[in-house]
Amino acid sequence: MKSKKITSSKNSKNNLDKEESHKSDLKVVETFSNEDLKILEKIKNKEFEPRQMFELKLKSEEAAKQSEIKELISYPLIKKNLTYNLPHQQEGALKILRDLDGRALLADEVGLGKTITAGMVLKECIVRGFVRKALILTPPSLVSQWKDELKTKFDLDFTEISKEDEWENAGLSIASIDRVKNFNTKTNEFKHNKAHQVYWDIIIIDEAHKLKDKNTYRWKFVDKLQKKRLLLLTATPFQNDLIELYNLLALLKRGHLGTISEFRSNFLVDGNERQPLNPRELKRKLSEVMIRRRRDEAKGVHYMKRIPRIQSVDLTYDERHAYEQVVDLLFLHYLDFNGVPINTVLAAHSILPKITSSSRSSIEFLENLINNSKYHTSTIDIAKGILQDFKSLGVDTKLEKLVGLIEEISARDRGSKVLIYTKHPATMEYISETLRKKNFIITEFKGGLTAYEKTKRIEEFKEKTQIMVSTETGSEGLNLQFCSNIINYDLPWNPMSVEQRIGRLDRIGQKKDIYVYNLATKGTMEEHVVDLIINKMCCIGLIMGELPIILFNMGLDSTGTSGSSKFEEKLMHAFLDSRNNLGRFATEIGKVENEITKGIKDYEQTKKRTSELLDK
Amino acid sequence: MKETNMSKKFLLEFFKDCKIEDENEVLTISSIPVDFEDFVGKKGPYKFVFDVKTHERVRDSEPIMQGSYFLLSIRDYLENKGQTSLLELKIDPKKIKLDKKLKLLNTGSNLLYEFSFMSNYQYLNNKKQSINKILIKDGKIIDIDISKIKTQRGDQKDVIINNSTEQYELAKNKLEETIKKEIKPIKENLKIKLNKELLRVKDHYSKRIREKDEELENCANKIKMLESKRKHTSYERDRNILARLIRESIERLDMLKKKGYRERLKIEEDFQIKDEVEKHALSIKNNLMNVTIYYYKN
Repeated sequence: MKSKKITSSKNSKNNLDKEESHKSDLKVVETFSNEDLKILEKIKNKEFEPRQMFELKLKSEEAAKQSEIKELISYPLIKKNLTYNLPHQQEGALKILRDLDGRALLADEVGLGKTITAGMVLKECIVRGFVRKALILTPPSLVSQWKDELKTKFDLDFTEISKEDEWENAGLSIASIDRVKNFNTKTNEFKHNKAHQVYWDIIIIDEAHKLKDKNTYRWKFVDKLQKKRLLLLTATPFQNDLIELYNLLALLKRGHLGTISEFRSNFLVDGNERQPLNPRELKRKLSEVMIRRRRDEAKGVHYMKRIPRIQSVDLTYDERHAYEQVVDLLFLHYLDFNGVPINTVLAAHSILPKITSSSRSSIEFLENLINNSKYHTSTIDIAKGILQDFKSLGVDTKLEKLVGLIEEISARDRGSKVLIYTKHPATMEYISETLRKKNFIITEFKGGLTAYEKTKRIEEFKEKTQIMVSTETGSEGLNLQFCSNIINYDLPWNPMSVEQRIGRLDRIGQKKDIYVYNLATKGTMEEHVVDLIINKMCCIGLIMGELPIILFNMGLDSTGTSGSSKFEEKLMHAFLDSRNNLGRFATEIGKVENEITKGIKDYEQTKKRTSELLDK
Repeated sequence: MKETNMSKKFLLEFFKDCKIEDENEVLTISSIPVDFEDFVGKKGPYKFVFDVKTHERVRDSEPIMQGSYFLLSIRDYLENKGQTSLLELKIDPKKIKLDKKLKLLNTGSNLLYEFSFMSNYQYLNNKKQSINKILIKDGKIIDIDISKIKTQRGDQKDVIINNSTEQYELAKNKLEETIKKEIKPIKENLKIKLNKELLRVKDHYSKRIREKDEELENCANKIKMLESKRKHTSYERDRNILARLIRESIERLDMLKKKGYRERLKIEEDFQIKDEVEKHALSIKNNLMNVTIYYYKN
């Protein structure tokens, strides 16, 4: 592309003025296409086409001509992928593009779909040809969810950037903000400083309230990004004081609220950072860069209650004995070929959930161990003994409890659909077999299904069967709001995964309260974990999407050293430290609960403060 | 409504060799050339609808509105087509003699070059397009409405072409002049917006520098005041306190000076200015769409 640049300039008196005026002049870049030369070549070679083709081309240009932004021309392309048409999302996207020139703070309350609104802005910009380089920065736990939504709802393929050298040739990029903001104090540079060399057409930052402190590397990293459009998403633009709001807006439009001294004297009572002096004027200034809607003013947005139900499973003596033996094996006799103890933390992370899931998955684990030569013979011998015990178990109390529960649900709400979740494919097959034997008609949903198969199974569950048994893999993004009962046969120790399970049902369009049933084996650590995650976190009246924010605020959503989430690691360490002493484990869980309760309280206070300023 | 009619008319013309059904506000096109289907990535039949309600009603329909995806695809499909044409002007020699403007044709070469350029302007979240046709004869731009003259498909044996690049350069220069006029209102509008933003940025940083200067001055004055107090106090305890305060103030003053806040704020200001300039930049992309050579026989 041959480029010819024209920039307007003024007559200046001295060199400095010249430089100044040049730097701040309107930039006009005019180019002619190299393709022109190919046409001239055709002329030279006397290659001619019918003139009518050119006339048609002129008409096609006229028909395809885009007018100024009055409507979202990309909406028909994505409409089929969106479950609901919520007018406030389109209106928001239009306002951001048309009135705010693509630089805005989107501060809608949680549950209104800020991700969808941001996706609409993005898609529109791409369809209109405004955006080629886009960057989305999200909390670590939301990267894959964003990627998934952009693909399924907006047909946009975003590439995750995790290494420093991946910024070259970056197009549509997404990254965890916690990862890329790392600063190397030795070189005095950001590890991902290549991101600052890219000129981004648009940048979207999710949960942007974390950019509240301008002295943090997080804030500085974002501030150094070169960008044409910037979208900050958060329902709580400030958490403790209004200086945080000032810092957030400084990223968007430097000086919009004056200097920090001016802001203090114009908008804070005697410099008190929590008390706005002139809220009306502050709101007016905010409205120039911010969009804020409440759930109660948005059409078609209603969320139902979550009703938690813990079902205690009282194991028989034999079942408990078998379970205890596996735990002992892991703690005391888990040795490699040379007799060296295997890392208990890693073992606990991968094996314990299987053991607590079902006798079938326990048997699967033990059989794999016995047939694997990497273990010490003493370990294998013990495993063989335990395997016999498992195989000779006559009853499965947990499964019987499940059957009773399904009957109970049917008695309460005849024909009501039930979604059963398990983490493990072996357990899923075991549940399916047993329920089929008892004449239940079920649908199975697991990883590895094609898109067509997935659609078919969902249709089957919606139209024909009462029960769907599912693993987490492959069920991300499913809309099952026609079902209002979920049974967690086993529970992931990561509350985000539990939220995602419940989130399949707890969506806009759900018409009934949602019953969240959880099977917990009495007298095991499962009982305490289920109580914490279900009763103290997932079913306490938070709106879908709020728990991830709380965990993000507390720094518990990122991945820990073991590859699991930091929260999950906390629980697992508590278990390992307790050496299977339930009393000690309960005390440790109590500490985690206190921490979480404080995080939730802080968040509620933040919401209240935000609402007091922005909504009243 | 006008837009809908135009789009529909265009689709009818574009798909004129295909099978067309126009019923219940749905235009169904089938027997579509394979190369077009491959280009668009969708097999026919296509069901075109012209409003959102019909789109909701008709499954697998393609919504057509100005700038919609399908129209953009057709435009892209035609991009490399119809780039060159040769037309013979069917013109009465008597008319040339009599008409003031047409007299131009009677001199020099019997060839005319018509260059059609598409210019795309992009700024903020706006896009505009314009098409300019420039007619050249014997190295000069001429102003004749050639569309009023009857034409027929030309025969390449009738023409000798040897200086098309020079004609193209002339046309480019003329286009630049035309564009300058066209973009004047856009530039003015952008300049107003940009200046507003630059004023905000510059004002912000000049205030911040002033505030820092004042802080520095206040600190220096405070030191002077404390030193004067220390000079005049006779109590040992007060002298010690004042000495500590002076020390602290000097440290603060040194820190303010050391940090080089003017330079730091200048760098920050330049970054913000650059950001705004880039945001308000006007990009013009010119593409030659077609060159038509007209000729006439004397």
